Amino acid sequence: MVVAELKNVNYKYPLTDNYALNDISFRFEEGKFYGLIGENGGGKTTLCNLIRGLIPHFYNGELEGSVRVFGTDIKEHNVEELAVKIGYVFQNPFNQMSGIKNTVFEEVAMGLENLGVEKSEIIQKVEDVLRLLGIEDLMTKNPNELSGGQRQRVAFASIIVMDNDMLVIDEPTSQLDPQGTENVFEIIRTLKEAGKTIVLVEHKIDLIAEYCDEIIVMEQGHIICSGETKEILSRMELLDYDAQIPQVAIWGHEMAAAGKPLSKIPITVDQAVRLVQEREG
Amino acid sequence: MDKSFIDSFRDYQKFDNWFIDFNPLSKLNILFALGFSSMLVNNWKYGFSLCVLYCIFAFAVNRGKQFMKPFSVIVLIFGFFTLVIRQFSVTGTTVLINLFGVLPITKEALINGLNTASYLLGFSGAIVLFFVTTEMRDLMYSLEKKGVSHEVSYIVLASFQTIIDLKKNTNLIMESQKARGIETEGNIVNRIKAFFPILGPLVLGAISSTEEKSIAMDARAFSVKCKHTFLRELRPAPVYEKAIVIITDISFVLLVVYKIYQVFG
Repeated sequence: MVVAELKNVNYKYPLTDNYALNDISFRFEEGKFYGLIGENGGGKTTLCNLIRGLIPHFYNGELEGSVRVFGTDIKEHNVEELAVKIGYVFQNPFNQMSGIKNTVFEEVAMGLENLGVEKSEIIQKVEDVLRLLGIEDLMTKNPNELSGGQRQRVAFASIIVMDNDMLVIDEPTSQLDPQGTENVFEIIRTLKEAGKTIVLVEHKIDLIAEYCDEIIVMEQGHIICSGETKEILSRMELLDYDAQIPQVAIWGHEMAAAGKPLSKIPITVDQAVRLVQEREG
Repeated sequence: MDKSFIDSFRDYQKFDNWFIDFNPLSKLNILFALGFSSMLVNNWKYGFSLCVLYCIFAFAVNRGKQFMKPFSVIVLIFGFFTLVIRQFSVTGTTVLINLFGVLPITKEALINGLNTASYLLGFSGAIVLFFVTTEMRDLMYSLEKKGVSHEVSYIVLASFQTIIDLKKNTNLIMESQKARGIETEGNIVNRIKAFFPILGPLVLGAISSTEEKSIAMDARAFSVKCKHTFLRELRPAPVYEKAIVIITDISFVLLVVYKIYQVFG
């Protein structure tokens, strides 16, 4: 089932001359994990804002083409109701705290309170999410006094607790250490396994290679290429568009150039190890 | 997992003493009635007795220090200022003392000043006592329960955090300016010169963070049209609390009637 479908979409923000999105056509299918990569200012966040309905409802601007989310034209969607279906976590964790809750537990519970969920159910769900993210020790802390990394986890917990069908996540690990980042990716994988559709903007390409089903590469508002992760991230030409590819993929290409080709280009370390073992016989 | 903390949400919130436990609207009602009564009575003996009562009460409910700090400032500023002004604005005939031999302190002006100061202090004492015994989130919870929209509640509560955030950002920008070699300390002229240029980035930053915050709140289903639930709940007012409120209100109404009778009767 298609959850979001974009056809020949062009968009420019108010008071700007250039299009932030240029002739975008793409179908997001239910239950898939999409990695959105590309240069800074390439249109990744704008695309997220469009799927989430913030464009055109919040940002206005000039939108052309067709955008259908959950079968309804985005212009006809009630953006408030869309928040129930699509969870959105964005880059800056400092502005994602409500500023009105005294503890992390209450902060995470806020979305469920807004949805009118019964108190006993709220408590259970918040407990589960805090445990899932490993932030039980933060539950009594004031969310406005946390570090960037801690706030990022709390912001993430505050959205996934709402159990949306689709998650649009824009650089959720920018403030996290490598272990914290890996944990977040594991959680996203768990959410994907629970049948949720996930769109993730991220620069940590090795993790994108390991976890995502499909990749969308953007440059100057265009989708340069898209497709299965293993196929897209093995392309050297992505480097020309300021997008990254995994180090092992570069190594795979260099092996081929050195006359020692592997049977295919690896995109994860595990794959590389397997391919080398296979080559060694 | 802090089980006792989690379980604290299952029941009504418990506070450290009986008055803090009162519903915020009951407290507001009682204290406002007392505050307004000092205005109606307009007598320094009543007003100052009320102030003493506030102080005793604040210590009795373990909020003495929090109460005395702002209240003593108000007493000093309002009380002293009113007394001085009244000496100049009220003409009296009974001179008590001649200050420095040239400034006559009259009995009429002194009593008038004491009366005015006492009702100002009687009223402001009630407000201070209310806020040291009530958390703003509890007041907004009670108002939401009475039908005030959650948007209003959010704006009121978030504005407190915004003040803290703006202060933090001001310091941050000041530090950045200092790192760039701009003089931000020293005499008052230097400080003013350093302060005005930061207003631009400060205001623009605040506007941009408001935009992001509204998106974040939207993502938390803040605008979804449905009846909200509350994780943190206050107990409904018990009968004795309602009785105290009703007795206070009846007394206040009687006082109003008496004052009207005094004026027109």
